[in-house]
Formats: sequence, C-alpha cells, structure tokens
Amino acid sequence: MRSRHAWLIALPNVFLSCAITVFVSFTAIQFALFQQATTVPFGMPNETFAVRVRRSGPPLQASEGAGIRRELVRLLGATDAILVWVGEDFGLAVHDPNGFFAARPLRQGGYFDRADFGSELPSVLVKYGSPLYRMIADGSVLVGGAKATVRGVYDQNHPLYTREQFYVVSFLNTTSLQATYYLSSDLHVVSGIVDLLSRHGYTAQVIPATHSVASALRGLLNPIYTTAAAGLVFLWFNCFLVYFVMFTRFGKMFSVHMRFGATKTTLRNKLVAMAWLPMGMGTLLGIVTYAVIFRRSDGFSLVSLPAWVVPTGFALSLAMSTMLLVGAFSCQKIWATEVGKL
Amino acid sequence: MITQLVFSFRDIWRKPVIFGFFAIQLVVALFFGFVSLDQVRTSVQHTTVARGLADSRLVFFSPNIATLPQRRLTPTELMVTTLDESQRAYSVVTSLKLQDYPGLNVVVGLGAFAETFRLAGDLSAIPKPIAFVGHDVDVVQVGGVVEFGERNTENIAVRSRLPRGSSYILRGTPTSLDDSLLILVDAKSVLGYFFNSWQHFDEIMVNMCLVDPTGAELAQFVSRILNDAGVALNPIDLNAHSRQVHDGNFYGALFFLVFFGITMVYTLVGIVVNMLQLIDSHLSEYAIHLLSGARMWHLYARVFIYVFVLVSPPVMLVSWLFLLMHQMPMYGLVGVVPPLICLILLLAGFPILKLYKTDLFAHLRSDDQWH
Repeated sequence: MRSRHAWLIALPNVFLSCAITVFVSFTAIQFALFQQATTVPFGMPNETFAVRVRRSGPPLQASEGAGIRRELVRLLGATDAILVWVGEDFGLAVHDPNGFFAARPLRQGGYFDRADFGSELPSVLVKYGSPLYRMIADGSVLVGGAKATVRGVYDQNHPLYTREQFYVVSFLNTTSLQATYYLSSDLHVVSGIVDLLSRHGYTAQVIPATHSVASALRGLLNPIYTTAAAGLVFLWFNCFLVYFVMFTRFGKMFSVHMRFGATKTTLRNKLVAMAWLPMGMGTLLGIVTYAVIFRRSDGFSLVSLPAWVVPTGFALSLAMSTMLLVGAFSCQKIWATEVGKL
Repeated sequence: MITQLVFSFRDIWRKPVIFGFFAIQLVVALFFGFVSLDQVRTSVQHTTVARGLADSRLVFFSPNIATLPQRRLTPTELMVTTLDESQRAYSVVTSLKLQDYPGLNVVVGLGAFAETFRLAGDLSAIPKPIAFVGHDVDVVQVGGVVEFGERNTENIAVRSRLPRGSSYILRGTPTSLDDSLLILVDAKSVLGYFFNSWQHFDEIMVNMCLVDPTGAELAQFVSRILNDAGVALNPIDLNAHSRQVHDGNFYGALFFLVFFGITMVYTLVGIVVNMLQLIDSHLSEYAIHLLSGARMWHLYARVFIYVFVLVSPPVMLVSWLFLLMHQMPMYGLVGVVPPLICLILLLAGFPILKLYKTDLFAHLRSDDQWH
C-alpha cells in the first residue's frame, strides 16, 4: 500500500469519525431525554400521579382561589402526600409538611418549616444567582406580588432546581391554580382533588407522571433523529464506494499475489492490518476535529456529555470503517472470476 | 446533442436505484444542511448581539399572569422617572402601525433605547421624537416625513438610515431593525399620541428592560410597579437567558450542520466516484463511439448531462422548499442557478478530466476491456 492509498483511507475516516461522534453525542442526548421522560420528576417517589389543571370557567376571584387552595391542603393534610406544583410562571410551589425535600442540600439557609405549609404568610426558597437572589433584602424578597420571607437558597444540586423557575413557595402562596400538579399520594386523594377542582370550573386531567417506555421511545425516534440515522447510512454507503473503487485498482495486484500462493483471507487480513494505522490516525483526527468544534463554552460543554461518547465514537468509527473496508474487498468482481489469471 | 441526451438517460436507466439513491442523499443532506446553517446563522446573530450587551447586564421582566387582570393604569410617573430621567432603562412598543405605511414595521423606542444598542451616536441634545429607517426599508427615505400618532399627531422627519444589522432586544430575543422604522419618543408624551393608551401602556410595562440594575434598584422597581400598577413582575437576567437559550440553540444547530455538512461532502464524493466507475465500465463503448465519428466533446456532454439530471432536481427542490419556508418570492430560484452550474461543473470536472487523460483507443486494444 502506497502512501497515497494511506491518505485515501485516512482522509474519509477524519470526516466519518467526526460525523459518527456527532451522531453518538446526539444519541447520548436523546438517551438522557429518554431517561428523564421515564423518571419521576423532582426525585419524587415512584407512586406519583400528575394532574394537569386548566381553567374552563370564568376567572376566579382571588379569595375563592385561596379557599380552594385551603380545601386542597386539607385534603392532603390527612395523608403524608407530597405536592409539587409547576405553574405557567417562574416559580414552583410545594406542599411538603413531612419534609421529604428537607434533607436535600441547600446552598444557604434552611428548608421550609412545617408551619410554613399551613400559613398564608409567604415564605420562599430562592434560586442562587437569579435576579430574585440579588433582590433579597433583610431576609425577604418580593415574589408573585407578595413580600416573602426567604427560608433558603438552592442551586443545581437540589432536586427542585429547574432552568426555567427561579423560586419555590409553599403551595398556599401560589397565585394561580392552573398548573401541573405532581402528587405522591394514593388515587383516592388524587380523585378528591380532581373533584374539588372540577367543581370550581377547572378541567383536571390525571396523566402519568412519567412517560411509558414505548412513548418515550417514540419520542426518541423523532424525525430529526431518524433523518440523522439515514444520513449515517449515506455516509457508510459513500465510504464503501470509495473503498470499493480503490480496490478495483488493485485487481491485477491481487491476481499476482494469488498466483504465488496468497488466499483471499490472507490478502484481506494483510490489507486490514496495513489499513488500520491510517484508519486509526484518521479516526483520531476526526475526534480531535469534533472536540475543537464543540469545545467547552458557556452554553455547551463536552463535559456535560457522558464519558462514553468519545470512546464509543472512536470504536464505532473504527469498527464501521473496517467492516466497510472488508465489505468493499469482498465485493470485488475479481473474486467471481477465475482469480490468479494474469 | 439529442443523441448524448439519449445516451445519458440510458446510463441512468442502467442503474436507476443508484441514481435515485444519490438523488435522495442530495435532497436530505442539502435540506437539513441548509436548515441547520440557517439556524446557526440566526443563533450566531442572537449570541453576538447578546454578548455585545453582556456588560450592560440587562434585566427584563415577565409579568405574573395572575396579577395582570388587576392592573391599573397609573404609573406614568414611574415610567417617566425610570425611562426619561434615570436613563437606566428602555422599553419598546412594536404593535403600532402608521396610517400612511400600513405594511411598515414600526418600533417605538423609549428611555435609553438608542444608547443601549449604540444606534445613532449621541442624541441627548436632539428633542424627541426622532425617526430612523432600517437599512432595508425602501418605502420611507431619509428626509421623508412620517405622521405619528392618532389623538395627537406629529410629523417626524426621518433623520438617518441605521447601519445594516442594527438590532435591539425584545423580551430576551435579539430582533433586527433592518426592515423597521424606529421612532424614539419620550415616555412622558408617548401615551398622549393614542386613544387606546392602556394597550400601549401594557406593552411598555411588559417590554421594560433595566440596564445594569443593582439588587436594590430591581427590588424598588418591581415593588413600585406592584404598588402603582398592581402587576407583579418576574425579573429575568438577559445574560443567563441568552446563555441558556441562544447558546443552546447554536450548539444544537451546529451538531446538525457538522453532521449534514459531512454527509453532503460524502454524497458529492460518492457522486464523483460513481461517475468515475461509470466511465471505467463504459470505456470500450466510448472508444467505439469515437471510431464511429463522435468527438470527445460528445462524451464530455454525456457526462455533463448525467450530472445535470442528477443534481439539478434535488437542488431546485430544496431551494423551492427553502423559499417556501421563509415566505420568499419564487423568482429567488433564479439566484440558485449560478451556484448550481458551479456545482455541476465541479462534479462533472473530475470524470471529464479522467476521460480527457484516458487513451480510449489504447484501452480498446488492451485486455482490460474483458474484465
């Protein structure tokens, strides 16, 4: 194999491994989304229901809303249920008098007191680094139109941390009932809450707190991912074509070798052994290209991807390239004819 | 030429699956490559604008939905203090239309709008309202007069044209001013121009953005809006928002751009390799054609036609889809023709060069033709 053939093998592998590593990264992201979709949010227990609540009647008076909230808390009070309320605004709400989240680490301060969940005097946990955090003065901050006592400050290590929300209040201090309610409770209590909300002009729909594996898989195999997979097939096909045409140039050389005792297997093994160095170098260069393009930045970090992405990309590229090389070698017309004839 | 056309179609007909497969590859790689490129371009623009303003540490707001129905229309004093006097905030009204130019986008900037986005130099000595036209606006020219307002009206002369790429940030999203008329107005006077001022008041309040506020200033502003207007505002840090939204979009789009870019390169290489293979398998036929009186350019034409028929429909289809997606006029397809011809010449160039360098008669005399 001459050096130009080595280049001819190395160069496609640079692009091939870069593209395959991008695809593996995309697969890793899809896999993370799959795990997220099949895991109960906020680290809540597995027996969690989600209730999606929308307003179907005319707008409520504020006092009426407060009454419904108190009634809802009363329903929950008889059990050790946990409620996480995810509204349309920039905050979360919890009802957790038994302190399910109390043991989780906070950046500053402490968790809500048990009394906070029965009090209409607002208290709040504030997200670290958010504008609300900067607004804290004398241990309180203005949240949702009310001055709230800051109990603590949480960061990304807390299960209630989300990118979109900036604070967590106790449920009685929410300003709306339209939200998705995550309830770790028995179905009896959930039904009671659905009835309560329905009586007051809300449409409450019980939905699974997690997606089923089948539905999460459907989400995983979305059109973009499927198209990317098709793109991968195109890449392999064209890489195969390059190898195939390269080997057609070796026809006479193969014939000579076989006349002097070589077999198809020994020739193939020899070729693969010789091709591995340029193939490996090309693959490595492709991975480096990938790392340079997607270098660490504020918005994206290679570190945030699982550690298996790069080794898998490297191994998959090398394995696929070897298979394509062997395939292109085996598909040569010369093997169908009487080989060894000069 | 008709003969070469027939021969080219015969070449296609001999291996229609390969031909179709390459056409599909081109459509997929071109379409997704261009969509990703477009997204990367938009994200880069957004990120550049947001990063250019990082030092301003802008904070914008989202109103608490539950408190919106209780809003009151009284805090004009707060608006005047914040927007006109302190010059540490800006706001925007984008819902206005001018009677004389109903199709023209109008952006009304208040407070430190021009200063924050470094739009037109020092305007502190010039009385407002002041009008500027975006770079791509052609219905209004510099020096032209636009009538602004409904209840009180004022004729404003367009002062100058904004540089290309001028933009501002509307609720966290960089927005171009290239196709807009910009009118800078005092907050004190803006509501007097209109009958339904409450609507514009809402917009001004929602679009309010503070420049480098301290925590105390933020708290004071949110508190005053709550007391005066009855609306609770959620402050959002623009820098964090940009990092989260625009950088995320950028890298997401870059993922696909790199992937489909490489797919595109491979597809083009595959087409060239396929053509070289096609020529290799037809060398004897070409030699016989030459012996029968054909010229070399006839053979070149045959290759060119093959590539043309393979590449043109996918490129035109993707361009058409792209124009549809961006609601652009169909005559834009004309602009695709020069790059298309370049692409065809590039792809046909390698096989034609191979044909040019091959001694076809020597091939006919050799044993290779039997393989």
